[in-house]
Amino acid sequence: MQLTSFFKSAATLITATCLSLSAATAAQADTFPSRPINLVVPFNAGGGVDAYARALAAGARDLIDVPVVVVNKPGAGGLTGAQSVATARPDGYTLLLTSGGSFLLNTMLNASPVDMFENFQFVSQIGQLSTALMVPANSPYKSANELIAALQENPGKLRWAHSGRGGFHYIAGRAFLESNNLTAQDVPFKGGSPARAALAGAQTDFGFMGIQQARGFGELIHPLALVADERDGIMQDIPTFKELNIPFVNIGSPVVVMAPTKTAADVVAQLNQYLEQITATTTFAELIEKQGTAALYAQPAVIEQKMLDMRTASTPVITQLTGQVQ
Amino acid sequence: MSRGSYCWTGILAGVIGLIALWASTGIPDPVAGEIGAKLFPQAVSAALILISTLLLWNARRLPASDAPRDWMPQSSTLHVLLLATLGLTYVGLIEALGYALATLIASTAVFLLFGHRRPQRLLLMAVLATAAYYLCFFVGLGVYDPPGSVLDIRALLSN
Amino acid sequence: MDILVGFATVLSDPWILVAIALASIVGVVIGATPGLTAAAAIAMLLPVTYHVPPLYALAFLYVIGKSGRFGGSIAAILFNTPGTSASAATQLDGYPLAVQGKAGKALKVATVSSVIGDTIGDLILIFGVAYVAQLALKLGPPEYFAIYAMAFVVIGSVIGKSMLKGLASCLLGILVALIGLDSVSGYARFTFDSFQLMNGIGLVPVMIGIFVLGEVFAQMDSMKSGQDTVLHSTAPQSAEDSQLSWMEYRPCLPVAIRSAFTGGLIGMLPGLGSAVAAFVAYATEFRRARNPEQWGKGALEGIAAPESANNAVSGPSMVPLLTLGVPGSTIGAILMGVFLIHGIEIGPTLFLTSRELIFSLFATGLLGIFCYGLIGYFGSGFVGRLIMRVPPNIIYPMIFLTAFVAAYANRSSLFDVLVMCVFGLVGYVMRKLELSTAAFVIAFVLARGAEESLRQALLLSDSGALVFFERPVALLFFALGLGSVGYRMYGLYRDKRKAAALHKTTGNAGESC
Repeated sequence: MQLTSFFKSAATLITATCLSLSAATAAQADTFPSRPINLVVPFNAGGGVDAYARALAAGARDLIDVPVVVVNKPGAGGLTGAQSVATARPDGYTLLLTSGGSFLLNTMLNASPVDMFENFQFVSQIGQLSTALMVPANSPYKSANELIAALQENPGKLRWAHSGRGGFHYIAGRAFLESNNLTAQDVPFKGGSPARAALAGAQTDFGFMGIQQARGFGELIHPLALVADERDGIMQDIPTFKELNIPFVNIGSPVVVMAPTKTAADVVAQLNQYLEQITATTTFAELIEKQGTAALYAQPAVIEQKMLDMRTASTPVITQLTGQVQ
Repeated sequence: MSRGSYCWTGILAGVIGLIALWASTGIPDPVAGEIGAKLFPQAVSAALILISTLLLWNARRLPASDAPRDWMPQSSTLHVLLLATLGLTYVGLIEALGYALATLIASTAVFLLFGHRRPQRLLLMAVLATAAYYLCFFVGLGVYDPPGSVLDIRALLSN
Repeated sequence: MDILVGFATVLSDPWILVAIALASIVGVVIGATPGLTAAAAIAMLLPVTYHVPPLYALAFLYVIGKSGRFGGSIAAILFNTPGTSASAATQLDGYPLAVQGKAGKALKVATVSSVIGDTIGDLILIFGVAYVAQLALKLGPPEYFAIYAMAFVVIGSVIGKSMLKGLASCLLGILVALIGLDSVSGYARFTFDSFQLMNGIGLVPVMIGIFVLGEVFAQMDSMKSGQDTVLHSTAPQSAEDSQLSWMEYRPCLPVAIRSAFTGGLIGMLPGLGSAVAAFVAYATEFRRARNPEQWGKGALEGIAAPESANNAVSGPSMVPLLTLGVPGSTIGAILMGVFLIHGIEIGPTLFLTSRELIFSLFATGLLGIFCYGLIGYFGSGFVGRLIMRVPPNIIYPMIFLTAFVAAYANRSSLFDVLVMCVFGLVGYVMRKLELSTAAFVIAFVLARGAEESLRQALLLSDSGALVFFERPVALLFFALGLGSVGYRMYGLYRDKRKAAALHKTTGNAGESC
């Protein structure tokens, strides 16, 4: 290759680039989507939230002309990936798919550079993760009330497993203990699977973890009560705390898709419409159900209200926790 | 084993140890009955300061080496620093221009630093290397190509 | 015999055989590329697995995991750069052999040992799965801590000439590992209010920085100061240097077999992983070695031990994955995802509900070992010779560029690339100051897990630190660790007395710490 001609063509390219830069941004909205959409998942591949993204990408194949690419950016309990989307170009090609509850509680617990409501707008809710109170199968406590009685008799003596402080399972567990004036020693594990293994091996007395974690573990783990107002779509024989009339705070985690705040309204509306269609496909529903979690679609306004309610509901627990820290 | 390398290691370890000890005072105290988050950082920092004192103490006893600067070679250090600067610049370039363009620039520079001088050959190698990495990682393995914050070629090419 | 049924299923389907062969090649290549984990590539293939029968997808992933662990040793031996964290111990003796022009021989030892370790690991899995499942359920944080403590002992054997500098390297490694959110309490430590640091410093960028970029800097230094570069300073290789005779391997065989059982045991504890297994095996075998003075300078046994152990993890680690749903690695997590997508519930009942599938999977594992063994044994001499022929002013710039893309590809994070750059300089300075980079990295790898498991163990205990005395497996590992330290101290003491006697006769009292 001739050196001069290379530089000439490079110079032409750069000039052309600069000229079309402003025009390009304007043109994109008309033809959205014209290139692959990056769906950032702030957790490792293979996890529960990742499964939603993969199912979404599979469901999108028949509906959208461009591919949906799942990008795993784990770190800081999901905040690393969230921040990368918040600062990305707001053109609708970089979206965040995350566990809304964990995201919200993490930003409330730690000094965080991103805020769920300020830096993002909701595209839609596509799923729901719920947590449940579980005990080992050989546990002497056969119901939530028996466990509460034991906790009252031995304050601070019993131990419970969870997937890490800052996750919504932990906050839900803490909120349950607070609402019933109970104390117990928590043992944090790194992720849901190690916590479940510790519970299965009866290394702790009880635990709070995702309801889907109990599937296939019937011999080793008994879920006692679900942290929700309504029963789970798949594990239908597990009663809710509400049915049992046990005080609790409804902390779950909607799986949400979000876009940077400045994304154009018509692009978000278009994306929302796609997501509504995809979540209605059988491909998506089947893939999600096999994971043991639930598909649940909701409009942006609905999910935003849900998250705001959850923030209000969990503020007392969080203040109590952060107060304890300082 | 020269006195110089002991001195420098001692000073470096001491400074890092002191910074770490200072930083670990900010970690919240443990709840009763727990080891807490503070114990390990403080213990390790303190141990590092202890080691640093021992290193400096031992350096005193060591004979001064014949070549006093044998632990820090001279002219070649400049080249290493150049290479390191190139590395840091490269990260900035990826952020600003995306992977492909940044790699084209950085690979030209690194081949230049390693002594390739003929322009045609240099450019050819840079283009080939960039193409190879791009095809292998971003096309083949589907790694996420970060859009450049200053100039995003892919967005422009697709229009 | 379920495994024979499994073999029959697998061998009668040519497409599965194709998948196994393909996975072996992909795994070796990915493993050999520093910092590149197969996870990114596999995650991309995940949607494809929705549409193929589960065994195809599972076999592909399982075999990639196996051959990837082996592939890591190639880069460790040739470039002093562990391709995966599991092969960080392999470079201790592998790279000195490459410098001596014996890269081909070293690669063959790595291949044979990996095959032995992997096969024994799989046999433990196939024949002991019921017992292992029972055992795995009973092991918890106390056992983890005991094994971490044992693995820390390996640092003693890489600490180098100066005990003080070795300890300083080790403490620095621990300090770097402590950066980030503490996983037990959730408090931020050493983050200096930087959000990026909250997540801690990643293992992959640190390893690439210290070993790969640090090595490129060091090579630049020696090229410019007129010395030969390490890879090309050697005399032309003779054919013998890339061959491996039975006589040479014979002393390695018991080492490989013992290390396979060490690795197998560690594999049953998810999360500890291949790197810890390799370190523990290296430390154990170093203690037993008849030629300890050669270790770290190119002992074949020093390759056999970690390579056998890190591959032996593969088989037994399937037990906690399949019965407890605890994956030991990202590939493991994706493997779990494939089971779930196909509606196969992971859990204690899996071996009852999907027995045939599971044993077919184990059969593909054994075939995969055979496959990468062939690639490794016959390809290694060729690769070794090829690399030696590329001029250093091409290969080091390429390694430089690879370091950047590999650090990025791991988590799609530019911050990681920055970390990698910084640790490249750290590695260079450490080399200049004669600090031990191996001690630094090993301490870094082990510190976080060790602290976490110790604190979890104490949280779970009614009797404080006495919990370790109530757990036989934990006690066993502590005893091994203490024995190893004691033996080493005795060795040092003996050497010192010998040296002192020597000094007396020559009248020289100079001594460095």
